[in-house]
Amino acid sequence: MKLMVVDDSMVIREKIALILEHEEFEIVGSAQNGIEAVEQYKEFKPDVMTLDITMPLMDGLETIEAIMDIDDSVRILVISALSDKGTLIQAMKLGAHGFLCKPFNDADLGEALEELVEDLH
Amino acid sequence: MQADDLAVFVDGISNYFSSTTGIDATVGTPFLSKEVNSYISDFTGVIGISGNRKGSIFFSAPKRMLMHVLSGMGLIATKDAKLMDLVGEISNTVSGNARAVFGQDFNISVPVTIQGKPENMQVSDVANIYVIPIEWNQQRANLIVNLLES
Repeated sequence: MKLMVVDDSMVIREKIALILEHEEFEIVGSAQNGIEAVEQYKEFKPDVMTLDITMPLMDGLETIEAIMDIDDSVRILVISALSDKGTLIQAMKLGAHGFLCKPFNDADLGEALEELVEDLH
Repeated sequence: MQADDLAVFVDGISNYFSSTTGIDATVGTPFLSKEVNSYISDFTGVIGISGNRKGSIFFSAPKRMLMHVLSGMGLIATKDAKLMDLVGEISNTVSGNARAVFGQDFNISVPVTIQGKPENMQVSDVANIYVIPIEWNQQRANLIVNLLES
């Protein structure tokens, strides 16, 4: 399953890649803002995307809208420190499928992704 | 800012260390300070706050602590840029988590990161500088909260 990681923090991008190293996901793209994410989405067509909200140039909510305009079949897991219900609801309404609050550990990410793709198997 | 409001930051920073490294931090009692410069260490992440609160949140830590945090996450600090990124991410995470208490109108900026100790850092409200000391793995960092209700 092809996965793309979108986060302005290189530490988070590396951490997600490390956690998923031996999982079923192949990381095909890694972007540090929404603009890069949209460009890479068109090129790599991932099945799953992890997406931060607070990013420069284009934030995560704007990115969901832009990606949904291209293809609404991608599964998006929002991974954000913004822990209020309003942001969660807004992200889900725009097209996200799951929400994982930072900080997270290996098990948290594994469970969230498993839930995200369980009906794709 | 009410002293009670500090609990969300104490919990947030404590949760950050335990979740990401598996090692608990000891978070000391927050105290009021008249300046921030004494609490700035090798690397600092700063988040600007707007909306229903105004001000800034700093997380400042020594290089050695940040290298150990990265190591605890299974990552390697190949360059200082990664340590800058980490302080930015920690300050962003603790600030973002505070929205659970302050709501969606507690707007946080993307982090600004600083390496070294600038000569004279200023904050907008010198009467309201709370310092939260953190000890983790025998090293000390500080979370500095400077917020005013809008």
